[in-house]
Amino acid sequence: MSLWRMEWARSLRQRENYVFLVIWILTLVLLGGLGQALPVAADYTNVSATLITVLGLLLPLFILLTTALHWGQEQESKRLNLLSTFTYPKWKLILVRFSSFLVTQGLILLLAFLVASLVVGQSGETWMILFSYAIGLTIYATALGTLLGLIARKRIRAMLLAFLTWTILVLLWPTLLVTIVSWLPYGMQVNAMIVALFLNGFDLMRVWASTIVSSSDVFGDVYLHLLNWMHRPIGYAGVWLSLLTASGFLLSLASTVMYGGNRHD
Amino acid sequence: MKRILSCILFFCCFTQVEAEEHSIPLTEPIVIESNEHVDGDGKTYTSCGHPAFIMRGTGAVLERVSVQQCENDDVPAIQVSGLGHQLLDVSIESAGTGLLIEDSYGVRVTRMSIDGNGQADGMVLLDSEATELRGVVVKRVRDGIYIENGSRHTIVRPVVSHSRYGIHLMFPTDVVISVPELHHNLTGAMIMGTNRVVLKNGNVHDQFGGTATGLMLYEAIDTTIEMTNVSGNHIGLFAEQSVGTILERNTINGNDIGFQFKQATGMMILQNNLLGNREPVTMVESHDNVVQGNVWGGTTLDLDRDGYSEVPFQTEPYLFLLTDSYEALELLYGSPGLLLLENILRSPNDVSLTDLSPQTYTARWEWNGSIWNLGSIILLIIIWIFGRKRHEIV
Repeated sequence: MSLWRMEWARSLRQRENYVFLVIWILTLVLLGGLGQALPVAADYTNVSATLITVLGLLLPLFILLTTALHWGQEQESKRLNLLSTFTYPKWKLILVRFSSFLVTQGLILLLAFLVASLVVGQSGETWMILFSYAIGLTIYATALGTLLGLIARKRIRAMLLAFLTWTILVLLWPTLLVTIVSWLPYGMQVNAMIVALFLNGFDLMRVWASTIVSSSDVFGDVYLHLLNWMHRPIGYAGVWLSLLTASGFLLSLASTVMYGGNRHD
Repeated sequence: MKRILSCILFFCCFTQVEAEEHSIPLTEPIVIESNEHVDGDGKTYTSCGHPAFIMRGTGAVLERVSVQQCENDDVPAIQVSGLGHQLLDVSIESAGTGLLIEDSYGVRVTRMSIDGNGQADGMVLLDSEATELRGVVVKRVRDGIYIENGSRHTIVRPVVSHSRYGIHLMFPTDVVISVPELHHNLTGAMIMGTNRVVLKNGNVHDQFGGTATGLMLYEAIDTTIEMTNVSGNHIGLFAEQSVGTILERNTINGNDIGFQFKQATGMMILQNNLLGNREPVTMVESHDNVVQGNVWGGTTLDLDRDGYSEVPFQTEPYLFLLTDSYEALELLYGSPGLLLLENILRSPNDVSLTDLSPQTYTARWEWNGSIWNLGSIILLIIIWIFGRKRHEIV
């Protein structure tokens, strides 16, 4: 527990936290203000959809870069070798850092959402869904960034790798899917899209949040079945279990990469 | 004295209950001929296998009746043909078509309510002229108001819900629909093969299903839709192969897609408010249109402060083509990568839909804080401050 406390204090002292806080507050307040200018009180609007898009664009980039740079720096400065003198397994170190970083980001996001809610009148349910979405993105991006940072071993490589991953999983993802899906027979296209959805945690969270904040028909008739399932408690559990499993898998890979996965002896 | 009063009250109540509970079964239709006036005085008639009322000739009046149809009936509850008939305050619980008006002229229907079982249409107008429907309420039917052929119909304040199409027009001309309230249908209004239809001051909201569409225009010529609120649908307004449509001063908010145009040309899209849709407009082959002064929710820059942006709003055919060719790719709508693609892929002006002077809009902030909010913020800041304190392993 004292190791976790130490890591959390270190994580909270990072200067970039202030930048994150300002960015999230600005994003939520500016886009939320546009939503309030609507002439009718629509329950779901493109404000929440735009917030989902903007958070989905920026948050993975920031978190991937931060975590990958952090672990790349740890590798480059040989600080990990120093930490290996502690008598506990490496997976525990990764888990402690992962969880302390996650709690810090959760605190920053919660603060930003609370500040934004002072002047933006979204319903409590919408704020909750958006916050859950942001947390989901953070979990996945942190796990992915940890793995990338440990693979890269150098700061510059870590940064480039994180940026490349973000470009593929966020920016080029639609282009990739359009290219691949258009080759497939019609009957397989929807199934291929669903498989691809569960392969990319960022996209899974976007679709889940969009569905919950609006309705099951948000992506048309062909996904009505899937999105109806996502609307139910079992769907919530399925989506989050899938995200947590993917993140856990990425962290276990990171643990394997770190010193070849050997426990300290 | 008290006993006498109690007895009087008891008998009054008793007779009233009797009147409400008992309906009059009909073994054959009641035929109302020219200039006859039937005042049902609130009575309920039950019909099985045949219409309850048949109006024919000229100038017949039917008022204050209720009609109940037997289950699985497939005949209309009320059948009307001829000239200048009137139906006032009629309510129908239908299994087949509620009201069938055919080969008629100048029929007036006022304050009619139809509650169906979703199997047949509510009101059907076939080959009729100058029908006037005022204040009709239709729910749980196939098509709320179905009009085939004919012309010069007027529909005022219809309320249609929980049906397939709220209003379904097939080939009539010169139809005016004022103040419609169409909600929780698969499609609010389907306007097909028509000429000169006007829909104004309406409220078309919250249609349901994967293809939930507020207003659908197909091969409609010179349709005008103005000052109508279309919200909470999958697609707000869809127009295909329609020419000369005027869309003016509508508020299209909170739909997944505001406008969707496919081969829709010669349109005038003026001063509509499209804020709050996930995609304000998707289109293909719909470039030859006059588009001005709409609020799209895109980037605006008003240098001369006249309320109109100097930055034009432009939409690409890319988004529509994407899902028109591959339905499965609609899952990508709203993804950050697609946002980038939209901005990178710039189509030539002659295939884009461009509003040269979109209206600007301003954000609004209001104080929504509470003690709980402020307290939570202070608590989080305290946690942050105390959490930052150095804590080394000793």
